[in-house]
Order: sequence, then structure tokens, then C-alpha cells
Amino acid sequence: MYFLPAMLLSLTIVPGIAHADTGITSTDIVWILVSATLVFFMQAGFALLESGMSRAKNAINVMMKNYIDVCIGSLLFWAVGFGIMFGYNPTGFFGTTAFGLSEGSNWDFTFLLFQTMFAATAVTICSGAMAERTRYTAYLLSAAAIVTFIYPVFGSWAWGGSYGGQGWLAELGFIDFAGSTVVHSLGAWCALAGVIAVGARTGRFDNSGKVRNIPGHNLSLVALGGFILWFGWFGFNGGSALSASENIGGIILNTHLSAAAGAGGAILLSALLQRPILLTTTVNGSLAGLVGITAGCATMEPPFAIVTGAVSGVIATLGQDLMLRWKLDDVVSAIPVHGFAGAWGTIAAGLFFAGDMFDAQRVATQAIGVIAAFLWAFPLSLLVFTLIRFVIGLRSSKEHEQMGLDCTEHNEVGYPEFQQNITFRQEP
Amino acid sequence: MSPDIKRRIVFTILSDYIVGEELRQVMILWQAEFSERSRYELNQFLGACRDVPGIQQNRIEILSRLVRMVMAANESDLKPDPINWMNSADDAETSFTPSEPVTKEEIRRPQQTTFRPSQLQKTSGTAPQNSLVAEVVNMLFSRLRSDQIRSIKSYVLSAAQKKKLQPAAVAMFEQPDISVSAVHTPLEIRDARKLINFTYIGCCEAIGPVDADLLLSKAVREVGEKYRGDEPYATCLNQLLGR
Repeated sequence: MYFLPAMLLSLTIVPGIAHADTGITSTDIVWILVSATLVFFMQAGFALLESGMSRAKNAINVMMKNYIDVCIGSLLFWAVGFGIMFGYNPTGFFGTTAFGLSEGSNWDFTFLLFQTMFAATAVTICSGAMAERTRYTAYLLSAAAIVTFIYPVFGSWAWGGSYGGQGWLAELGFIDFAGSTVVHSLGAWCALAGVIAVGARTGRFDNSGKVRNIPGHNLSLVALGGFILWFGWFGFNGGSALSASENIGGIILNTHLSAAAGAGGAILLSALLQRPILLTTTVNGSLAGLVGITAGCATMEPPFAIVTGAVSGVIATLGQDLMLRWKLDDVVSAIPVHGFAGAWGTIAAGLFFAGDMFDAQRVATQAIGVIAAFLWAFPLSLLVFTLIRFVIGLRSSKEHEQMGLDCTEHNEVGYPEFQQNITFRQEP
Repeated sequence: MSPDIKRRIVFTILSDYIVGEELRQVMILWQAEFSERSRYELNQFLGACRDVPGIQQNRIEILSRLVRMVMAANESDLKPDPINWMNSADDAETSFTPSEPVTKEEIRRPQQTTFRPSQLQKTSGTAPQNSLVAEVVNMLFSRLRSDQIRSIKSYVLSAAQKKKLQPAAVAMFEQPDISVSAVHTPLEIRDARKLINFTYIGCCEAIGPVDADLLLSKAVREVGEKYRGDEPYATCLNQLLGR
């Protein structure tokens, strides 16, 4: 528990000695490591948020998926994903070196660790959207496909070429500072494919298509998860500067303001539509604000960060309605929050680029990046989920779904005192 | 018009919409509270039966048929007088006694007040798990509309056949009312458990998972309270729930 304060303290006592060849100081490395730990902590936020929005009988399953995302994501990204995403990129479409990195500079390892946390974040977006009815092994396979191929290939287009070369989107001038599109939208488009492939939870819609509410089991966990994600996002965006530079303050300020405005936008829209102001809507609004500002947090002035965040909150709230109208059952509203708000945030990064706002060329480039992410991630992940569905089965049986995936997938129950009359245990 | 003709008219019409114990309870209500009233108060009678799904859903049609038949009754079209059937109840709580009219509250939960698996076991040797499954399912069904019950039963039957449950399990759901009377083979605990789970899944489809959770929880709790300390039912119920 003293790790984080100790690292922060070290920022004040470790001299910022620049390496002779790279210009990277020890302070930079410490800052990136602190940021990596903050991004790692976001996994806890996702786990709490998703678990709280699920029913009690699936709490363990959701936690397990988030936990294993980090494990699988870290190992596979080290082995394959990092090389595809950041290795030498002569074509602009994928990297060809730095697989299973075992030799490198201190900076290489620091950067790898930081990017590993990003990869885990992209993967975990699917788990919430597809919660409560997806088989565990099927989910793991899809997560592996995303972290080893779908995510890093697109990442190489926008961020690739750390060891030479450049991604084609980066060459166009695409701006995605910390990953509104690269991480969040891409994860959301994969989630959209997953939600379509797996289908809605049993009873979510009646025969006439009317939506039935299935509330989560613990809204306190949802709020706590929201706070943790907000906290972790300071590392997500602040660390993406990849140095302990002076502009970190502005980046984190923009991040914070956008999150607050996102919640405000969602609340305001709820009030205007004369709906109750729900905790889940508010938390998702702030998360949408965080996703939205991620692309432009380093290139935007604070007032426009607020605009970006507020619009993100509105988009995420309206997006939830749209998903339900399309009969898509996204348990945690991951697709509106990460996908729709991420797409808007990426466009906003072009619109509100400080010193050169509303440049049509830049906005067009941003739009190309948004569309490319969708066209790459959605069909490919739909193919992956469809293959999994036909080969090993993607969806739990209805019987298992109603027993709860905690006992059918893990033989554990999250809340044994409260579920005896509702679920039935696995056959002995 | 004589009271027995009026009773036969009401019975003849209503028997097209509801059957069994539900019909008997409604007839008792009519006899107790409405048989002496004017024929123009038939609508009030149907209003008093608003919690009986088969009547509620067809209320206008039933009223129209009742009025037509009261205006021009042809005795040859009427079913026999059900008064003996109404009085033949094996339970003092629900038998027809003019001095103790049946309340509307009893009408709302007809199956809960009449289903007694322990008695069935004594009379027909029914296995506890058969009775418990029937009781839990009937308690669930007593709170659902008839169209919902039909769709759930259809789902349970298809799932039971697909999963190759024993014929007795299938037979239980092939009856118009979920009853143990036609099932003499003891269900395997595994199959009994699956029947409850299939019913629960059907409820989730029909009324949504949240309401289904509440219904099942309530049904299981009520059955559990009924058999607290009553072996072998209490043990069997625990086995069914995997406790």
C-alpha cells in the first residue's frame, strides 16, 4: 500500500538525469510506472462497476472475467501484441519486431508495462457488455483474439512504429492522444459484435419487444467502481504523455473537467427528458466524459474539454436508449460509453484542437480513424465470436443462465446467504 | 328465473373460460354474494372476479354471453346444476357454507388454498418430490395469467423432452392443471429439480427475470414454511433446492 506514495515521493528526490541517447529521464520512467499502476487499478474499477451492474448470481463470474483479462492480456500482449502494435512497422499496417521482449532498455520495459495495461483495458470492455450469459471459456478465447490481434493491429495504425516505421493513420495526422478510439471505441466495437452474437439475457425483452429492467445487485459497487476508474484515468491520460512533462497538469485537469461535465450532461438530459436521475446514468455519464476527452486531453483547452465531456454524457445516455431500441442487451452500457462517446471524443479532438479549431481537414482525418476502427474491429470480432459460437458455444444454456454463472462456471456463489431461494446449485 | 337456472347459466358460460378448482371458487363466490341479486348486477360479479385471469381477459365476451343467455335461456343448452359439485369440497375452508361466504381474497389465490400435497400423499402414496414440484409450480402459476401459464408449460414440455426427462415428469405438465394425480412414478430428484428450473426459465421469458426471481423465492419460501419440520417433505425440498 506504500508503493504509490513511495513512487510519488521518488519523483521529488530522484534527479531527472537524461539518458544520453534518448533524452528520457528517471523521472519520466517513474511517472510512467506510476501511471501504469493507476491504469492497472482501473481493472478494479471495471470489475466493481460491472459486478455491481450484474445480478448477484453472476458477481463472481464478472469478477473472474475482469481478473483473468489482466492475466491473459498481459501474457499475450507481451508475447505477441506488443510486437504487432509497436514493433518495426515498414508497411504502416502492423509491427514485425519486439515480440516477447526480453532484451531492451529500461524505457522499453517501462513502455511495455504501460501499454500492457492499456491492452487489458481494451479487452475488459467486452466482459461487461456480454455479462450474465456468456460462457467463461468462450469469453477467454475471444479476449485472447482481441488482445493478440484485433487491438494491436489497429493500435499499430495509430500509434505504431516505436521501433521504426509509422502507422498509416498516424501518417495521415490522426490524433488519439490516449486512446478514445484505439482503446475504448475499439473495445466497444468488439463488445457490440459480442452482444449481437451472444444475444440478450433471457427475459430482457418481452414478446412485443418491450424492455424489462434487470437492475444490478449493488449500486454502491457501481459508484465505487466509477470513482476508481475516474482516479485511474489520471494515469491513463497523464501517462500517455510518456514523460513527466510540464503539460501533465493540463492533461489531467482536462480529464477531470470532462468527467465532471459528462456526469452533468447525463443528469441534465435526464432532467430535460423528465426521467429519474439514476446513479447508473450519472456514473456512466462521467465515464463517457472520461472516454471522450481521452483523445484530445493534450490538445484541447479546458472549456472545450468541458464541452466534449458534456456532449459525451448526453451521447452515452441517448446511446443507451438506442441500444435498447435495437434490442441489444449491453449490461453495463459499455457500447454507448466507450464506443459512441469514444467516437465523438475522437472527432472533438479534431474540432477543438487548440490554436487551430474546426479545421475540416483534421476533422476528416479523425473521422477516417473512427470509421477505420469500426470497420476493422466490428466485422473481425463478429467473425471471432461467430466462430466461437459454432465451435465451442458462446452462450451459456438457459438453465445455467438462471442458476447463475457463479455456480455453473465456477462452482462458487458470491452471496450464499441471499440466493438460496432463487438459484439452484450445480448437479452434485 | 329460478336460482338453480341462474346458477346453471353462470356455470355453463364460465366453464368455457376457467376449469377445476378455480371455477369452483368463482361459483362459490357467485352463490354467496350474487345469486340473490338482480341479473343486472352480473357486471359487478365479473368485476369481483377481476383477479381470475381467464375471466379478466374475456370479461366483455363473458358478460355479453351471460346477458344473452339470461334474457333467453334454453335449458337444454345448459350444463347440469353444479351445486353438488360445489358442496363436495374436501376442505372445510373452501366448501360452500352460506353463513361463511367466500371472500374475494380467497378467490384471488384459488390454488394456494386448496392444494395439499401432504394429503395427497396419504391418499395416493404420492412421492414427496412429486407433490413439492406440483405445489411450487402451482404457486408460481397462481400469480400468472392463463396465456403466460400456457407459454411456460409449452416451454417446460419442450425442454423436458429435449433433455430426456423421465416420462412421469413430462406427464405432470401435460395435464390441464399441474397435478400429481396422473403421475404415479416418483420423480427422480434430478428431474424434479429440472422441472422447477425449466418453469423458472419459462417465467423469466414470460414476466422477466426480476419478477420471476421474486415469484420463485416467494413460492419456495411459502412451501418451505408449510413443511417446516414435516419429514420427509422438508428434507426433500432441501434436496430440490440443492441446499
